[in-house]
Amino acid sequence: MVGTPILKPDSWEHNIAMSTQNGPDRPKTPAESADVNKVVTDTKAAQDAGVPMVSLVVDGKSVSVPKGTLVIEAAFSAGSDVPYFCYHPRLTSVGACRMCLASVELEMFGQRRASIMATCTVPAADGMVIKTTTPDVKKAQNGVLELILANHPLDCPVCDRGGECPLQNMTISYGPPNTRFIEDKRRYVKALPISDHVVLDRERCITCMRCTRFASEIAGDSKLGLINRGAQSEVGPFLGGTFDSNFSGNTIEICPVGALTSRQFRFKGRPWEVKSSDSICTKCSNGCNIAVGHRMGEVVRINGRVNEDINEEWTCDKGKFGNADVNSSERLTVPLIRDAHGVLVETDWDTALSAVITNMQFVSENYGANAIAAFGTTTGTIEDNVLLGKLVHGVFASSNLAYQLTQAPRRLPKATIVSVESAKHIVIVGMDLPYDQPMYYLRSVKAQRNGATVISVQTPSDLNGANLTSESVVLVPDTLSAADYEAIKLITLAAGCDYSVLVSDANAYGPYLAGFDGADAWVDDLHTGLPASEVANHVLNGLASGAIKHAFVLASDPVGAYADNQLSNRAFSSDAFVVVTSQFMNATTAKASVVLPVASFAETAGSYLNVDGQLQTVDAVVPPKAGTRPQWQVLLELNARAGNPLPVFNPSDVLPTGFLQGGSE
Amino acid sequence: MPVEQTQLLYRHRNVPGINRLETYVAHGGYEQFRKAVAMDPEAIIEEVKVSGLRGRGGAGFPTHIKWNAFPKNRDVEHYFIINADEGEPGTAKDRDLMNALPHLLVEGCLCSMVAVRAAKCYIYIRGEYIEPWKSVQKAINEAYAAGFLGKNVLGSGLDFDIYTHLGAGAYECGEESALMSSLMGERGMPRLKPPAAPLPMISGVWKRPSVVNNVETAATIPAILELGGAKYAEIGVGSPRSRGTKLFSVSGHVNKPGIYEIVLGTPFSEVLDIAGGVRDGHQLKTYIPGGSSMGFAPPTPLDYPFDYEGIPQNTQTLGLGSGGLMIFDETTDVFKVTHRLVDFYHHESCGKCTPCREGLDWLSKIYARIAAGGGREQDIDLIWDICDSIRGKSFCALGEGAIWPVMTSLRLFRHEYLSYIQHGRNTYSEAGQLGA
Amino acid sequence: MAKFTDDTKRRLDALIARYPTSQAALLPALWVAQEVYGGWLPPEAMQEVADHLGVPASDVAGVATFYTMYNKRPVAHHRIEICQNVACMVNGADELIGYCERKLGIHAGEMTTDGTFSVERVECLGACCHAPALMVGSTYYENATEQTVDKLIAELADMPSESVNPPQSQMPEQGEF
Repeated sequence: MVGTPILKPDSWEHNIAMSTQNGPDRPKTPAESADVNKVVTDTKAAQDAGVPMVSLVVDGKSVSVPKGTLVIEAAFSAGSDVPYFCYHPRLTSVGACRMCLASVELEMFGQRRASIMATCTVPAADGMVIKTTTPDVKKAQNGVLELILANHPLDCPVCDRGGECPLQNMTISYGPPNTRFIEDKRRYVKALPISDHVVLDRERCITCMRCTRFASEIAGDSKLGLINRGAQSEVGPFLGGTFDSNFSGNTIEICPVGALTSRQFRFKGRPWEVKSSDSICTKCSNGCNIAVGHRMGEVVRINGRVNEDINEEWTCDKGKFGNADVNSSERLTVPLIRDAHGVLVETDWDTALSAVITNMQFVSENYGANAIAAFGTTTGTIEDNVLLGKLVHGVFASSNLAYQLTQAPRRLPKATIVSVESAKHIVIVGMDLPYDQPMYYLRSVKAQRNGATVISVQTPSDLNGANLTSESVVLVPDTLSAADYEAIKLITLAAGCDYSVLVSDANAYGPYLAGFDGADAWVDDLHTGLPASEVANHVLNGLASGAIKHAFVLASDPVGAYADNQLSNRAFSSDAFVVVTSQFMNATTAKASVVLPVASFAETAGSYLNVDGQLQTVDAVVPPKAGTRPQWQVLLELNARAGNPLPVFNPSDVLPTGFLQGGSE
Repeated sequence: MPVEQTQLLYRHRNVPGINRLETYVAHGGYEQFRKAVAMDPEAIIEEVKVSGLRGRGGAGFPTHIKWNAFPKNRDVEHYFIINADEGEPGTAKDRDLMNALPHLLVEGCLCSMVAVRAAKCYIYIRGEYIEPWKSVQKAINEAYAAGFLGKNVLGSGLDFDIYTHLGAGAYECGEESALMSSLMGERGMPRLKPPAAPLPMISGVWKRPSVVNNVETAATIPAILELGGAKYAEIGVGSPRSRGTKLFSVSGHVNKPGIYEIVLGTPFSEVLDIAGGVRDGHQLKTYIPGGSSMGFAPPTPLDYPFDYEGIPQNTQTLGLGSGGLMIFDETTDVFKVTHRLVDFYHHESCGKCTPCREGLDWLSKIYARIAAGGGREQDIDLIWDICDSIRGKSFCALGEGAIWPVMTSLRLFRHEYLSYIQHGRNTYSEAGQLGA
Repeated sequence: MAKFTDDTKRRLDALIARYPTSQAALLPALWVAQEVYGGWLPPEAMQEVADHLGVPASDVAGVATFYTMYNKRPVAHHRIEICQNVACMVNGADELIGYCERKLGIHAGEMTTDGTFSVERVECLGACCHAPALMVGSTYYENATEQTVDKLIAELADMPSESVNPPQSQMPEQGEF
C-alpha cells in the first residue's frame, strides 16, 4: 500500500506488525484462562477479606490489589495481558523464562526509574506504573520468543500439545513469524518414556522448571529434577530411573510445551476434536473434579478441573490414567444368568430383570420381607441407592439394607482436605497417603512447606510415640479393625486431640444418606458420628445360615472386600439368589445368580458425598458402553416391574430439593 | 610525573613467611582486628563509608551500603561470606592474595564480621584453587590456635568461626546470589533480588542476614582501619568515587604480566608501563580493562584515569570490573578471542533464563559457523539482535557480561568479522594490522 | 553396591556439622563420594549421598551434574587440564594443547587407552599472568611450554593419581594443611 513503511523482514518492527492477535482476548488454552480466572478470583477474595491493598497503574488504568500480589497478577486484574511460561499461580515464581517482561516504574534506593522486569517476580507496590504494550516491551517479548523457538523442534504436526499449546499461542500473539536460526538445533532422544504414563521429549523442553517445581513444591517428592547446566540442561527422573510419582500426570498438563506428554492420550485426538465435560473421579473417596475429554463418544483422557476445596487443579495418576478402564475390553456388556448346570451364561435384559423380580416376589411371599437383603453401593451414586431402597424397602418392606463393609466408626472427618493445609502437626496412621488419600497428601505437603511436622506411623499403638498434642491432626483409614479404632480413640482422647476417619470409597456414606439406616438419616449424624454399621454382618450371617434367600448387591463386592473373608465367602456360597450389578467380574459376581452389566461413572449421572462431606453432582459424559445400562435406569425398571412405577425421568428427579438440609425419604 | 604508588594490601607481600601467623603478627598483623573487636559495629561501617571502599570483585558496589543494611542486633545468626570463586577470565589477583597473604584475608574477615555482627564466615573458594585453599585453611587453623578465632575471642564476648567451602567448577557461582545457592548445596543458580525479593542482608543464606564480599574487599578493611577512612579516601588520583588502591592482574601481550597494586585513577598509560608496556616490538591493538565481561576498549585514549568512572567514560566498556586487565597486540585475532569468550559464557551459563541459555547457544553456533567459513553478511545484524534480546533481559549479569565483548568487538572490529565472512580468515591479524 | 563405610559416614557427618542444614554439605559430600568411588560419581554414589544427607536423589544429581569438576564418567589417572581462555589463548594455549594431543596420540577430551592420561580444555584457571597455564590435580603449571609438558608426562607416570583421590575431598580442618 502506498504510504505504508516497508518493514525489513525479520526486523522486530516487522514481527510486531505481523502479530495481530494479542492483548487480553488473544487465543488462550483452557489452562491459561484458568490461571487468569484464579488470579482474578483470588484477588477479589482477598479484597473482600479485607487484606491491605496497594494501588498502582497498569496500562493507564488504576487498580487496587491486595498486598503480596505480583505485578503480573495485578496486570490480569487490570484486564491487561502478560504472556508467561514459567509463572504459575500455584508455584513459587522463578523469573526464568523472561516472557513476562514488562515496563515497571518504581522507586528503589531513593530513585524512581522505569525498567524492564520479570513481572511474575515483583510484588505490586503503591505507586508503581506498569506498561505492558510499549515498543520496548514488545521487542523484549519478540526477542524472548525468538530465542525459545531457536532450538525448539518444529514438531507441531506430531506433537500432542498442538492446539492447546501456550507456546503456539504466545508465538502467534507476541512472537516472530519466521525463524532466522539456520544452525543445528539441539538434539536428544525423542519420545522417551519415563514412566508407564509419561513421555519426555527433551528437545521440546524450554526449561521453564514448572515440572521440577511441581515435583518439589506440590507433589513433595522431587521425582523430576534438572541435570547438567546451561543449554545442555535436561529434565528427567533420577538418572535413568522412572518418574514414579502418583502425581506425574499433572506435569503433563502444566508443561507449556509438548515436552511431557501422556502415553495414554498419545495421538488419540487433537484438542479441537476432543470435547470436554465436567465430572468427578470415583477411584477413591476424594472426589477430585475432573474434565473428561471424549471424542466421538469415547473417553480419551482425564484432566483436572478446579475445585479449591478438594483438588485445587490437580489429579492423581490413579484417577487420571486409571479411569481409562471405562474403555476396557474386560467390561461386562451382556447380562448373565446362572443356568440349570450352575454356569453363568449370557442372556438378555428382559430375561434377567424378570428373573430378579420373580425371585424377589417368590421369596417375599414364601419367607417374608426380611428374607430379602440388599447391599448398597459405596462407589455408585446416592440416587442409585435411593432407588434400590425404594425397591427393597419400599416395595418389599425389607429392613436388611447393608452397605458398610468396613469396621470404621461412621464419622465425617474433623480434618477436611482444606483444613489440613494449615495444620501444624499431622500424624498419618497405617496409610500410604499419596496413594490412599492423594488430596489430603498434597495439602500435607503444603503444610510441611509452612513448617508443619508430618509423621507416618504403621499401627495405632505407634501413636504413643508420636508426640501428640491437642493441635495434632490424626488421619486414619477406614480399613482398620474395631479394636484398632478403640485404641486410637483412647490415645487421641488422652492427648486432647481428635482423629479423622478417611473413607476409601467414592461414596462411602451414600447409602446412609439414601436412608439405608432408617428414615431419619441426617448428615448431622455423620458429623457427630455413628458406630460402624452392623447390618452387613447381620446380612452375611443371614445368608450363610439360609435365613436370607435373596441378596441384591448394587455395585459392591462383599466377597472380596469384607474383612471377614471367610464369612462373606460362606454367605455367598449358600443357595440364596444373588443379583449383582457390576462393570467388571469380581469375587461376588463369580457367585451371582444374575449379573447385570452397568454403566461406568462417565456414563451415568448422580450425586456423591466425598471423603470430607462435600456433596457433588455430575451428569453423564458419554453414552453407556453398548450393552450396559445406568444403574438408576435398571432400578427404575425393576421398581416398575415390581408394581412401583416412579415419576423419575432423570437422576436429578430422585433426590428431594433441599437434600442434605433435611432427612431423606 | 608518574603517580606515586602506594602499597596497602601488598605492603608485606614479599616478606618471607608472611603467610605464617608469627611473621604476620610481627609485621602488625591482627592489630586492626584487636582494634575492631572493641569498636562499635557502626563505627567500623562509618570508617568504611568515609573510605569510599567499593566492592573489588567486579560490581563495585559501595561496601558500607551493603553492611549498613544488616539488622543492628544479633537476634538471628548473621553470615559473612567471602567470594573467592574468582572465575572472571583475566582475573588472578585473589589467588595470589590467598596464597601469599592468607592472614590478611582472615584478619579482613574478622574485622568485617564485627561490623556486620556475624559470628560465622564461609569462604567460598573455587574448586580448582587447591593451593590457595590450603593456604587459607592453614592460616585459619593458626588463627584458631592463637585465639583469634573461636569462642569469646580476645575476651570480647563474641564468637568467630571461619569455614572454607570449595566450589566444583562453575563460573556462575561467582555471582553473589548463585554463590549463596551453591553454598546451601544447590545448583549454582542466581536468586531473585529486590524488588522481587528482600536484600540478602535481610534474608540471604538459609533466610538469614548475609553479605557476600570479594576477597580483596575484605582484605582492604585492615588498611582502612589502620589509616582511618578519611586518610584512605585521600588515596586516589581520579574520580572522587574511586578511592584507594586496586589489585590488577595484568596479562596478555605485556612484558611483565603480573599482579600489581595500583592507586585508583592512575592514568592507563602508566598502568601499562608498570606492567612493562606492550611486549617489545608490538603495538597495542585493544585491551579488556577489567575481566572479559567488560568488553574490548579502543587503543586510544591512553591518558585517562583508570578507575570506576574513567574507564566506562573513555572506552565505552562496562568499566573497571574485577581488575583483570588483558592487553592484546596487533597479532591478536579479535574475532577468535571473542569466539573463545562466547564459548566460555555459553559453557558457563547456568541455564535458568531463556536469553542467556538460548541466546548464547545460538551465538556460539553462529560464531562456529563463521569461523569455519560459513559466515554471511546478515550474521552481523543477527548477532546484534541476539545481543539486544539478552541485554537487560537476562536473569543475572552473566548474560550481560557475555554480550559486552561481542558488542564492543563488533563496534571496534567489525572489519574482522567481515574478513571471516568474505575470506574465511582474519586478514587483519594475519597482516599485523591494528585497524581496518 | 554401596561403598560408603562407617568412616565415610563419619567424614560426611563432620562436614554436615559445619553448616545449619545437611543439604549445605552437599558439595563437600560429593567430593568425598567421588573419592570413595575412585574418581567419579555413578548413580549409586549420588544415591548414597542422597540417603545420608536426607536430600532427594534428583537434587543430588542436579548438583553433581551442574558442576564440571564432578565426573559423570571414569576419568584418567592424570588429567592434563589446559586453560583455553583468552589470556592463555593469545599466549599459545591452543598450540600447547595441540602439542599435548600429538604427544599422547589423543584429541582433547579423550583418554589414552591405558587410562593414564587425558588432555582437556578447561576455562580460566586464574593464572592469567603466567600464561599459558595448565593444571594436573592440585598443581598449577604456569608459563607452560612444550618442555613443561614433556617433563610432566615423564614424571606423572610415577605419581599417585589425584583424579582418583581428589584433594578436594580432604577435611579442611585436618590433614597436612
